[in-house]
Amino acid sequence: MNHPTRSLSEVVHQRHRLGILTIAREVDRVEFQYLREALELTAGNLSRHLTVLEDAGLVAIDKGYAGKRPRTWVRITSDGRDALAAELRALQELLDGARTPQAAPAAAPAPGA
Amino acid sequence: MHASEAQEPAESPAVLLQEVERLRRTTRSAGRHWWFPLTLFGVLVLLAAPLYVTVVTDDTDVITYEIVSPLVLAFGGMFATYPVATAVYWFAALIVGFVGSGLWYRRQGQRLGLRRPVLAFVVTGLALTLGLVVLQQVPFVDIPLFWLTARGTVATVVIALALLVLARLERSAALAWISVAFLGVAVLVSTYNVENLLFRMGIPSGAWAGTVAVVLPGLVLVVSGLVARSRSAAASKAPVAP
Repeated sequence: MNHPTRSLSEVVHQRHRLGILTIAREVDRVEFQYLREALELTAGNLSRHLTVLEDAGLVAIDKGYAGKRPRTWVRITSDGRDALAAELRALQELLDGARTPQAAPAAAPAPGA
Repeated sequence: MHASEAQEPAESPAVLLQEVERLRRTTRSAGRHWWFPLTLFGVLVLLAAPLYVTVVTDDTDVITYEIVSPLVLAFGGMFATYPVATAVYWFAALIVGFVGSGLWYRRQGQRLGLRRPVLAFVVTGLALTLGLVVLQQVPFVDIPLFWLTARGTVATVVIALALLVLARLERSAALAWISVAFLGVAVLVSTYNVENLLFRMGIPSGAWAGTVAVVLPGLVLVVSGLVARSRSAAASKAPVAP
């Protein structure tokens, strides 16, 4: 049986990239500025994370205009959905695995009881 | 201060999963605008009430000969006081409701930077509206449909079914419950003479009694929409726990 850490993706297992995929998973498209504010990232940092995700085929990026303002929209791909689901499963398995050995001392009687 | 990737500490699965859940909740509440279609359709349903005021006339042939086109058969009903006007109103109201809701979502999406996948809601609503008219011309299908269309309130069923699709797209259990309740009311007023309920409750019937068939579902939508709006506004003002 594989250890859960082997299921973690190098691309997705990063707090901000996980955040980008989580937000994009909830909507049809999310705008660059919304991601910046929600994840508290600089434009440069966010661009770098988006490039990593786009190169891996996990998000698609569309550029357009709202009036005269340029807008960048991010959309999760079906590979991105699968990668996010796999990452969340692996994290949950790790969490469950970490909790199991701690359950035994907690069940022991308290001193003086 | 913005942390760069190199400075980020390795975070535990518990912290990452908490962060994912926080972002998920924030994004869902930020981009959620389903109170608007509820309220819009509620107002449109209530505005139909004057068409359901009963007019006592000896000239019953007027009603009989007006029921000729598939549009009138679909939305006018056999028992409506003004079948043609009722059919034209509902057809226009449904198109205004679905297109208006789609445009509202689009505008809010541009403003917030979050576009929700509501196209399926608009397409479902318009397809059901047009499909109901087309099906009136299909032999053997029009007969079971008569069960729903006879009272001229089948538009409320169309709205309820489209709202169920919206609930799925919005992943909203609250909207799903409201839609199911509204579907129940819509089927009730479309298949049963709700004036009988007034009679059983001892409320004296009058020319206005027929309006209950649209006032009841209209109020369900308007009240639900306004409650959802106030809850949405309260949620957006509440601080989000980090």
